[in-house]
Amino acid sequence: MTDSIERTSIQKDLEVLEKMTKPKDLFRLANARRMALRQQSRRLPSFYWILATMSSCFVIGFMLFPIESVTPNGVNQSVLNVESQISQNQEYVMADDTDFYYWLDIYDE
Amino acid sequence: MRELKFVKNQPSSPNQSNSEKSTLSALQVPYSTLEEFLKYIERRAFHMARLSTRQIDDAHDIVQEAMYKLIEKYAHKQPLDWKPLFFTILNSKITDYYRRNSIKDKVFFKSKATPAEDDYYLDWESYSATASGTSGPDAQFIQQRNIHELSRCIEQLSHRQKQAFMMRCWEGYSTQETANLMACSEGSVKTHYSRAISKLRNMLEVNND
Repeated sequence: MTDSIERTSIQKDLEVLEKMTKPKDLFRLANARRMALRQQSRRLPSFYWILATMSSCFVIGFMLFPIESVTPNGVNQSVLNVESQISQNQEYVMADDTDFYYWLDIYDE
Repeated sequence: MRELKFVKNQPSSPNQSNSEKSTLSALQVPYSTLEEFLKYIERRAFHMARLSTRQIDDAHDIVQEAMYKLIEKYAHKQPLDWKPLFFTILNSKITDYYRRNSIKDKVFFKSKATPAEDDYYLDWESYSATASGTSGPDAQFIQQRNIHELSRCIEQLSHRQKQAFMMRCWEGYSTQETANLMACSEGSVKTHYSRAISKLRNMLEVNND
């Protein structure tokens, strides 16, 4: 079969395929044409909606539940901060208590 | 916000004279307004997009975007320029679709084998309504089967092969015109087209056997 005959036969089949467009699709095409001629804004593709929803969920998640910093040894930084605060408080308490034991110094002398 | 424009259903330029219209008719361009052009091209564009994407809804979206872009950017051009411009836009939209899908597949770990919506696009009712009354049921059956096989085989071609085949065979563009539309060299078009034709030939022969 030569190329030209083959090509003509394929073209003929494709033309029939065009004619076989379903009425539902013809209606949708007519609607698309009408919207394009009026330059009405189109809806965004669903893919972008999914992406936008996912990214906004991540942002909200990070805002509500911030990731706590962890030291390289795996110790939670907030726990270390609390411990250092406790030890500082104990030193204050001890410094206050020394006034109470002033009389010990008298006996030592 | 996007500026909304209304394109009147009139010839592209107000100065389009009768001599220009007669030139268009001499060049066998069956349209003079944008609406006529879109009516003329929409079915073919839809089937090209459908065979490329295998999804009817996506094909409609692509065609609508191409129509929208043509009117938005190139409404002022001459009617003779509309067709190549439209197919350039359509091809780039289809390429964008492929890129977007590959990203989507990577992000969502989607399997490659997505179900095609248009597997049974050709049904007997629509076929018998469009088939000529002169041909008998046997001829109609053979033609329907041929079209179905041809559609399936076109869908299996690579994206560039599909583009080359559709522009050269379906639309009847020359190698140079197709190269301009596909933004590649004439040699590439020849390669893609010959590979597409030989692949189609092989597949159709195997299916007929």
